[in-house]
Amino acid sequence: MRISDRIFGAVVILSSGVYVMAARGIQKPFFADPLGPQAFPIGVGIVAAICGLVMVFSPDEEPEWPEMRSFLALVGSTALLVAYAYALKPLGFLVPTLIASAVIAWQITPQPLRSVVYGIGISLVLFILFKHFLNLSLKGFGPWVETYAPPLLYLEVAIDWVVGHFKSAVLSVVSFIAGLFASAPAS
Amino acid sequence: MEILSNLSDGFAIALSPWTLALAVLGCFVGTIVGALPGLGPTNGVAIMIPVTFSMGLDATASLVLLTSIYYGAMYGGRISSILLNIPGDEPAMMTTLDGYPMAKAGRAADALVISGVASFVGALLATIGLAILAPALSRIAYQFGPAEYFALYLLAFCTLGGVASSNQAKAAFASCLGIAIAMIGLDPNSGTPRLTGGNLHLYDGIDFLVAIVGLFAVSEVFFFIESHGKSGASKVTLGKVRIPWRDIFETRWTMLRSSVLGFFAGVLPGAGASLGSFLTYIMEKNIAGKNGGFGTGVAKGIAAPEAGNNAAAGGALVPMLTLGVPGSGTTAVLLAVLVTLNITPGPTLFTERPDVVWGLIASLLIANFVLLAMNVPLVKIFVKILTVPPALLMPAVTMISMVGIYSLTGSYFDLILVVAFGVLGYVLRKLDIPTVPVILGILLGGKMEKSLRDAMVLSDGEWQYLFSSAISTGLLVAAVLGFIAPMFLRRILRKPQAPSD
Repeated sequence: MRISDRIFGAVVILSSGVYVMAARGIQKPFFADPLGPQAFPIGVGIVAAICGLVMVFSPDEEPEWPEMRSFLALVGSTALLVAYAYALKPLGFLVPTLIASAVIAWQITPQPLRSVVYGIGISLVLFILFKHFLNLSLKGFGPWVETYAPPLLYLEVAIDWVVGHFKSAVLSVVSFIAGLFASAPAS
Repeated sequence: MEILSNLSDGFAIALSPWTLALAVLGCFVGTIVGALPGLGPTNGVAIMIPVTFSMGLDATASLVLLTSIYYGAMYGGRISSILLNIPGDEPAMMTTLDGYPMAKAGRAADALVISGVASFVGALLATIGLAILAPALSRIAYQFGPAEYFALYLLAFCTLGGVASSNQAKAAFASCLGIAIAMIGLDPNSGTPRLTGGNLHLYDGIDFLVAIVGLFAVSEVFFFIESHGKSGASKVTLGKVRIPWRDIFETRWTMLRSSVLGFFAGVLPGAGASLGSFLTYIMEKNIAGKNGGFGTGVAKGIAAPEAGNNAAAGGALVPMLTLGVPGSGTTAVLLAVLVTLNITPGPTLFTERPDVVWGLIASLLIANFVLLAMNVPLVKIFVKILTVPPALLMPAVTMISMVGIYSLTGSYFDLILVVAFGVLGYVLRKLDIPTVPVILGILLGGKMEKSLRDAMVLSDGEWQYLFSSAISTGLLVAAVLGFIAPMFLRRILRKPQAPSD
């Protein structure tokens, strides 16, 4: 039963067909070059369809598909990452990252407590790294925090304060060392 | 002695404290990336790109950082191959064949040192080869018109599909998929929107970074979730690191031969490091004959693929810098970086931005010595890193990639595309369809179409124009051969079985 490749090949042929139809529908510009904007995509679609045909008629060995539980875990993780994409802006960085990384950690090794610890660690370390060392404009929390959990605001302020001081200390040491190099006689 | 004067200019750039620090940092990060199973060079460089951009580095600095990571990852890939029997990346696969048996026989440290030295020889010779061959090739590249470039792109897709995969149709489909994705967006010649389905987000096309991070990093996470972090192999313990002088001396010709062969395998557009390690291993196995003991843990079986894949890594930079056609997956990613930094690779790069080219080559020469130091005396540090649990590593990698993409574009739509590419990458890899051609297609598809259309403008629609010069005819013939030949060679060049526990 080499069914996977056959199904995938059929999907490839169908999508190539749709692709070629879509490419034929591209508007021709007023001044076109000899080939125009349609020919190349159509050609690519045709080659892809031929590849699909080969897959249908000479399929490879069946891959090992995940069992039901793993499959559900994969679907769940995909949904989680999509939710993360939507949540990142309105909810701020820390909470969605904590939840997402904790859940992924838990999917990989089912140890709840450890996963939560990993989640907290990853979200804090990355927040500090991205915001303070790579200077990205990240919001720790979204606007919801003022209404629902104002104490959390102090957490962000505290992080900023500690990291800010740590960073300036490190920078002054670095610039001191760099100064030693700079003042050395240039060869 | 133009090369020497160019190189000394390069060293002036490379030896500035800042560039040097970046090279060392890149080597360190790269070795870690290579050593961790599930994080290859392509992957690692892709994840580091957003980080590099947000550090605000200039062209030379970011290129030095990213290529050091690339070189470092090629060195580091062997560590998990030898100790865990899990290749840290695809090119390191051949190293498991003799590395793991040798480690099981209690000589893990020897295997690490021999492979480290072999990596050094391969990478160093390849970097020298790069310095010699690249300027020469860039002079030839001046004669390339649109017809020649079209033939060259076709050659890249054909050899990549032909050699890297076990099924021609699947590899060709992967290339088509990438090129088809590249067509989405505004047509560069006329400005008409193509295949966007009216979605405004798609008018700019699909960013290759999004595709790379999705196809490599996110799909890897899916694989870890599927297996629940179980890695079947038992870890071998590492004894005291001593230098096995005798083995190194005995493998000297193996290392040299493999470096040369690997370098040229890397120069072939599209073929890359996996081919380099594969060919060199097969070559040495045949030279050693039946009594060579290949596959049972011999020094030559470790030295050959490691010298080969590191030499190929350097060789792959040659077509990337001189022609703008990457020789491997990771150089495709590096090419993407160059384009984003507004540097056009190609023959003009050598005359217009010699600081970038020679600064890079000089930095790579230095990086090799740094990597030798890190990978032989200090190898224990990196072995420690293998004990990081996947449950900590994989979420961190996912989040770094997602936030990295978000920081570049600030759009949730790109994050959703990343996830979509992650799912696509998972399905493709399950079906044994290579993902590197997809990346190459997204990156080069637009240029391939443009060169074809420019050629047709020049010839007023006469397709014979594609065969008008010797160079383009030769490249087209090579492309066809490169696609067809592996179908027959595959029966002869069987991949050796991986060692089992």
